[in-house]
Amino acid sequence: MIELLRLYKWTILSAAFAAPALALIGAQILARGWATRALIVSQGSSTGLICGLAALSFFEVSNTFTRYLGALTSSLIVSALAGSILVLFDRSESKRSVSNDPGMPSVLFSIYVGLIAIGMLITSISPHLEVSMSTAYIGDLSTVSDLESRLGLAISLGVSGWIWLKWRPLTRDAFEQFVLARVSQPKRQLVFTLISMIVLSVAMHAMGLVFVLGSLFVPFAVLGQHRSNLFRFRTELVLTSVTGTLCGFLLSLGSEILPTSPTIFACLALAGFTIRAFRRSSERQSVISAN
Amino acid sequence: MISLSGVQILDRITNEPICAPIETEIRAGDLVLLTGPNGVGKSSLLNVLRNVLRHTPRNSRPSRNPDQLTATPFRGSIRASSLDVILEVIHHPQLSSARFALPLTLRDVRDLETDRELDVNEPLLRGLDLTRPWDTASGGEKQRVILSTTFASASVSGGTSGRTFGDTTKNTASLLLLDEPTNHLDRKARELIADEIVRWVHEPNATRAALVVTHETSIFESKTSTKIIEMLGAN
Repeated sequence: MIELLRLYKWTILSAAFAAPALALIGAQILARGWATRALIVSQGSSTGLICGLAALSFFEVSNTFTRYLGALTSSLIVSALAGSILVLFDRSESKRSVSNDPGMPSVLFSIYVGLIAIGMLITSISPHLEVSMSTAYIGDLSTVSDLESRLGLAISLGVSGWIWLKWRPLTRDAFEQFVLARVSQPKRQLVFTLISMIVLSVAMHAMGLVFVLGSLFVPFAVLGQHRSNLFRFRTELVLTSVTGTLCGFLLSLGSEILPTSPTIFACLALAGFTIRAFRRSSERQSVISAN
Repeated sequence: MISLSGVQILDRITNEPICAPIETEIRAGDLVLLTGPNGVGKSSLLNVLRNVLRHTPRNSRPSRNPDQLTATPFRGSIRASSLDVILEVIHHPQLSSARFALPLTLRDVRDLETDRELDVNEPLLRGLDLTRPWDTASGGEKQRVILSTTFASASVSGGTSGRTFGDTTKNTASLLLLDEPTNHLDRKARELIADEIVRWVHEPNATRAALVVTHETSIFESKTSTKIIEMLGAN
């Protein structure tokens, strides 16, 4: 166990800090009503990763760092393409004044399924790439080098810090956009969108789609929003994601049968429920002492 | 501040005008009420003004083709002069039911928009329980908080919610655009909101005007001299 911890220490740290970045991003995404879009961009990142790995295999690139950068770039390009299609689609809907069209999800989910289909098509053309498909879903810790993990760690720390510090203005942007239907800070919205895509792609490469989507949405879903406040909720999101990811990793490393991403998924939920129970208990205590 | 000459909103599909041409000027101190039947293009005109004026430098015509500035097609000329800030509080029919995913109280909504210290005795906030979560507040409470927030941000910096031109710390010229701000409110709340809009427009040493889409002109008319523009159908 100690040996495994030594071996994967940078990978574990990288994932443990990618999780809070993703949880904070996920909360802001949900506040903007972009959950479906996030699902599509995440799938775009996953499909891009398969395309990138396929291309790297085709050109027989063997250098580990070049492979990492190549896969990451491809992942970013396809997720950005998926994001651009969504932006163009939004604009066209807004020009036709049909943004509340109840049939819109059918188009969004068609794009989502289309991206899955592209990934499957590429894999079926080159059957030896089935491992790439699996990488895109469950990640590939064994091939992530210390350097890549440290890079991922630095990005996650930077992004988490930025969102932590900008929590209030980012929430204001989300409120304006979702409730008042206006965007007064388009540059900050753009920065938020871009760094979200970078974190998604980095996390996708190391941990795969299950980890990314789990970290984006599970802490928010489990913690709920009631009986909390904006800044305490931010702290709870970070605590849930860090403890859930670390516990999941340790359990998975200590066991021979537990796969990493699903174990982290379960631990995220458990950590969220524990923190939520603790919050309720402390609220009850303060009500009792107030009376 | 603004002059509109022969402005007509066009149908998005047929490109035919849906209202008669509008000729008017909005000057500092004006409270202009825009009224007319449903579907004549009142809210569309507000959106056109919002989008065109946001992209228009001071004392000039729009720098780009107006068609590129707004998704709502229109014809005619819109000219802005000496306008620094456009503030907008568009009433959305869904505002009363709009929920928000992050946990915000009414006070948080106010604090998000402005750093100005909260005065709980502000008329719009008086009597409100500001610790109430946004999601459980009524449409009227939400509307009062949003309006109060807009006025507060305008008083501090020229408006975080508006497009600003130039140095906003000096006396700025501001236009407030409101779309049916008193919808679904009880009489007391309607009176309160009308009072505050009038007070804001006529605040001493300020250069301000408001354009309000409303079907309830009597609430405003009883308080101040107002200009009423009745939009009519094209035919």
